Amino acid sequence: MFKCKFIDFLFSVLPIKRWQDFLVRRHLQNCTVCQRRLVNSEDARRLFVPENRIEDLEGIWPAIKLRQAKEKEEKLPAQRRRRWAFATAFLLVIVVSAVWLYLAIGPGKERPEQSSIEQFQINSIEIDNEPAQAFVYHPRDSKTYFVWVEKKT
Amino acid sequence: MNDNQLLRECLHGNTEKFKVIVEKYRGKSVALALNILGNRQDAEDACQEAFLQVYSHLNNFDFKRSFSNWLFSILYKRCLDQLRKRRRFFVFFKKSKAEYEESAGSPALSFSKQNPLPHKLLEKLSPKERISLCLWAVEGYTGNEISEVLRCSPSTARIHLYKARKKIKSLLEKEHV
Repeated sequence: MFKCKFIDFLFSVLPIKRWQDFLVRRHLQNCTVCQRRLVNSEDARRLFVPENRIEDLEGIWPAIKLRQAKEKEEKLPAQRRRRWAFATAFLLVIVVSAVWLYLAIGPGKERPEQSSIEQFQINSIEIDNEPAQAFVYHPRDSKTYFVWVEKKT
Repeated sequence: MNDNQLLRECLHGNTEKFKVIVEKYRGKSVALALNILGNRQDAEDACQEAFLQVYSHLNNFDFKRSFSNWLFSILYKRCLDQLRKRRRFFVFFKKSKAEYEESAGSPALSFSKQNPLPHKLLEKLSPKERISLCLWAVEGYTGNEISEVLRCSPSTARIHLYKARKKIKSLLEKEHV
């Protein structure tokens, strides 16, 4: 009896279910005193409604079928809506990209570097009536041009 | 035709075979749900939802497992949903009752718990303990099988069952005294 009480105490104190289960399996299942403190299956069964006492089950299948059909109906427009939303989003991305590309590199638009090169040209340069070498430096995002001229050696 | 053959037929789009499955398990399912929820209407709702979920997730079913365990585990989850709904309703009801009494100055609303559990002793158990005890006592399930339904370890399932058996025994003894 003392052992049973100690096991009971251990059961309430142990924090891990596996340890509690170990106690249940090792002691409580074999101890007749503890067994008497558990309800047997027959007494427990009397508390529950048995399957054979359940009547009027005919309505379950039609209700399930009705709900299935309803769910299908609800699913279809939702699927269609999702498809339309996806297609519209895709189209929008394509249109925005096309407009952006057109504005960036479309006809009539010249690249700024190209136009400045066309505007700024050195055909020939001389120092002391002798042809010289020219170096042109154009800093980015600036309208300034640096020209460095050297005598050819 | 066994369950697996019926389910394979259902997977090929034969809804008539699903009807056979529903008819085979509806009694057990409603009884189980009724024993957890204590209300026929809620039990039927939970069963319908469980069967619908089974049908829409048939391709996820592992044919090595027992179909009834899988169905009962889904049903148990739907029953928990029903209990949660009911709890939310009780909170809402209590709040509106208090508000009404405050404004009217008299207790006019009353709400009695309709259709209590088949046996009032079962109310003392948690849903996990209730289903463990029901599966063990009515269906003859072992700890391992209960764990499949509850989706927990066999140790945990055995502990739920042990606690339920102990609680019910002491309650029955108190009732007799």
